[in-house]
Amino acid sequence: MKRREFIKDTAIGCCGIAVGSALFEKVLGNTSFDKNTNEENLQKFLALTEDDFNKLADTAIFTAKSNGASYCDIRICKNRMQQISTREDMIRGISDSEDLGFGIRVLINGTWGFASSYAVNEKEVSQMAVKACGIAKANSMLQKKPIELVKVKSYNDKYLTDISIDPFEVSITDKINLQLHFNKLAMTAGADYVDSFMWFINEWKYFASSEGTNITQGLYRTWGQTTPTVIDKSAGNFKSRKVLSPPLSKGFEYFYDYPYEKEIETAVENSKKKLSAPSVEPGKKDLIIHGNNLFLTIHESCGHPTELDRALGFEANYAGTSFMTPDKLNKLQYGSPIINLIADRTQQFGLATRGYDDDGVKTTEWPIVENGKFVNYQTTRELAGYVNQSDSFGCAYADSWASFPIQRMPNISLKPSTEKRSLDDLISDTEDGLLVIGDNSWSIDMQRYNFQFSGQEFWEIKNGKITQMIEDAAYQGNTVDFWNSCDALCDESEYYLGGSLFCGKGEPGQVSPVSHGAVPARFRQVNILNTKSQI
Amino acid sequence: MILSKEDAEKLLKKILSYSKAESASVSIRGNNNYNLRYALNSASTNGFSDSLSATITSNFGKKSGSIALTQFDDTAIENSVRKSEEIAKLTPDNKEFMPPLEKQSGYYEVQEFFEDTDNLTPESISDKISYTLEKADSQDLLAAGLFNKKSGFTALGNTKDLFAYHKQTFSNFSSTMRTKDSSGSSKTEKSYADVNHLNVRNLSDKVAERAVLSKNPRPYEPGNYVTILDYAAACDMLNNLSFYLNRRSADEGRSFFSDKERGNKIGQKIVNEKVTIYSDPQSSIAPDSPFTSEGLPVKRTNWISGGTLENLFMNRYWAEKKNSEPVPFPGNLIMEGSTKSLEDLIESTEKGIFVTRFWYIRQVDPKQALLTGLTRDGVFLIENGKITSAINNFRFNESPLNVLNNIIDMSTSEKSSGSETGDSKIVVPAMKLSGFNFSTVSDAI
Repeated sequence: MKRREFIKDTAIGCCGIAVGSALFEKVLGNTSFDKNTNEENLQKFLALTEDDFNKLADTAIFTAKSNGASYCDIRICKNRMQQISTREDMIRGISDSEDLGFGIRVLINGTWGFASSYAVNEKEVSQMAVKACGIAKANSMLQKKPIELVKVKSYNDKYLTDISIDPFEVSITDKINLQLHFNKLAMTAGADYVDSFMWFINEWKYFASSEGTNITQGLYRTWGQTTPTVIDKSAGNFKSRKVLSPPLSKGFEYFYDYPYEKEIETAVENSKKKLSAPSVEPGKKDLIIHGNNLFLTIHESCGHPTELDRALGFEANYAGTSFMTPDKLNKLQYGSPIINLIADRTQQFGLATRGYDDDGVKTTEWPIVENGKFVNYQTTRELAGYVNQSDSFGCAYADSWASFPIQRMPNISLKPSTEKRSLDDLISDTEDGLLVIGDNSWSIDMQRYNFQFSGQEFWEIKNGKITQMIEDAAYQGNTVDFWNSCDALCDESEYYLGGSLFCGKGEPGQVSPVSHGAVPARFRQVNILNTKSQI
Repeated sequence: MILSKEDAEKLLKKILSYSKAESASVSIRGNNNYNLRYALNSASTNGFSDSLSATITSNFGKKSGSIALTQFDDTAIENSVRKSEEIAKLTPDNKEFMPPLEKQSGYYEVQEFFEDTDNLTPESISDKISYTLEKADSQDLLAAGLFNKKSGFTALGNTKDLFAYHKQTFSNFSSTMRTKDSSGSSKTEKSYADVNHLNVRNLSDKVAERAVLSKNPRPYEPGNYVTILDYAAACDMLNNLSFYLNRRSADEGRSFFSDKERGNKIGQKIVNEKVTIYSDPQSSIAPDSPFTSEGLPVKRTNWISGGTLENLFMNRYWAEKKNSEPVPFPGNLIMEGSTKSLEDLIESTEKGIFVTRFWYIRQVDPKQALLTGLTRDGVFLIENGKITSAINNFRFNESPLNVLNNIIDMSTSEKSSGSETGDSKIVVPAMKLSGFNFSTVSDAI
């Protein structure tokens, strides 16, 4: 039997954050819902079709092998995605989709073949296994270098995101009411318009391979965001500043854990400040980048260039290649000696966190940049051999049953300073500079050298003090120069875990969720642009 | 799974027959897709997928609930319909709710499904790509790219007897060829509903030639120069412009197209008078669905005529509020060109920059419609009417409105694909501009 509880009790029991529970008591106080039903959901997923998943897997593997496959895996996936958006006191859109199907991947003569279908039954599984083998054979004439997979252990396991409240057990009405409450707060604080949205994503994935592995995983992700806009009609000007709440691998408890109400007030207040803030004086300045902006810089300038498929040229046609080519491994001084960037697919709340990747490799943690030096790539079973590694780091991911698994980014985070240093300490130690808060627009070239990022807020620092907000700024740099100019990091008390639910890569395009942790860091003499003087 | 018009209608009616709501609408989509990727002059990944899904939306008053179906046995359908009704009843009123449309007549006849595209097989595609790989090998280049084939249909229906059905095919070929020393790169990409327009051999030959030409670019200072945008580059600019054509944002004072006195800039001259941009589902080279996701007929719409803003898109709710007809978001975008060729534009240029493609374009400032981005896969210097050398890539900060304002000449229009236009159907000329703002050098190749 499902255990039902009042949401306020759950809030205290699981999260214990006073701000959150007070908020929920006010808005959703009398709502009851199911507490974590993860284990039950897993059983439901496994019993989704008439045919047993293990039996379907046996059929796929048997059929593929009898058609000449040296390797075969099958993924049966059910993805649920709910998006709810509102503006002011209105509903903008509700979308709730569920997608079920399976994909079979085979290797014949070192060539891939992949076929997938929405109809999860034995007959279709057998047909798609034959089809995948036919595709592999049709393409083997184009295969110059046979694909080789590094070894992997076989596992029989399950993995579930550790959530407290299943977000799909919370009613749409409650989700809308919560957003309308956020919107009202923003309007009361002085916003002219306000947009809010919530995303809830749940992936169920069954994986079995011809190497004896059998894994079931249930993954959850949640995101909420509110963006107030203020308008100065007389000047024909408008400014927005979003709440800096990042997407995380959490359940509905996400909304208890973040000080939403306070942040909405800050967002409105600072959007108003932006209307009258002076335009930035362009030039070279010392820049303190908050973790809530730096996470994206890490994603773009470290995450993408250390994808081994990019570095080798597999993504040259769309995502691009990388300046971090294999000849630079263990040689390139990527950043100053205080820079340590760690890849980790086991990090709590990380969006790329799971038990196993889509090659059936157990997830792990490893360094990408150590004391400023580039020491490792991100790999899959197919890629690891290219850099003479005998094991994969477990970075294969497909965003749907219909997608072929490719190398996707793990959570990559900047290690905080072990010396005690707060953001205030860092500001006090800066004579003439800028502080940037929150991510905004970003753009970087296809080899990941040249980037330009803006932010939600820029603040001027003079003689160790914040003096005023400024506008129209963006910072532009070249990756290696930029990371080598970093001379100070804050400690773990300032840690911010940001991320993206929809990092795009591959052809046809796939999305992948990934998180990046960062602390505020100072970069010396960064090129600051004035975006108003550009045209 | 591609359902015929009759089968789709049967399934729609069956789903709707379970409805107990005040009104309900259903959409069904199905696809048969296949793609082959290649890299390092060899096959890489591939995939076939067969999909079928439906979405049912039930309405009570101003309340709506939607749910997706992927299983189609009677029990699954009935359960889903009930679920959507439960959700609708529990949902707060949507103040901007618009009831499902009455039965519509007068959908344009559109031919977007081509048997030859639908009949492509892994073998026939592999055959086409083998030419591309041989070409790259013969020129000592490394090729990476994609061949993508899709067949699909969409069917819509509701409890007011609306029914609409459209099926389409899509074929896409792209190839990036890079020199082995990574000092040069060029890309080609084309997509058509009818695969017979897709000349893989010709495109492979041309991209190989340009890749060789792009080798060892010489350093060149950023600045504002006379610039020719090749089709792909022009395509990205036009696509980005389309996102600003939002009537409501303009009326609410938060867009480039806002006007302090009149609400929006419709009727005002906003760019050079050479510019005419429209959408038309019946375009022969870029056909598109003759109805929107609600079943509203899509007709030819002029966005900009002779430099004057004629229309901005708006949904049924905003149209009603403005006592006007709804204007659907552009399904395809067609910009009129001239009778000149790209070569003519180059020949007539004494000194200028030739940009083949852009990359990573992002909005910097919505008020100015300011975008930043980079050039990619080949930038060249034009001197005395000829391409004289490859030069480095640049970052730019520019507005698509500025680009259209700065046009001094154009080529004929072609169906084109930009770096970030996805499957959008865009027909655009190459453009010669009096100026374009390159802000910094990009070392990437």
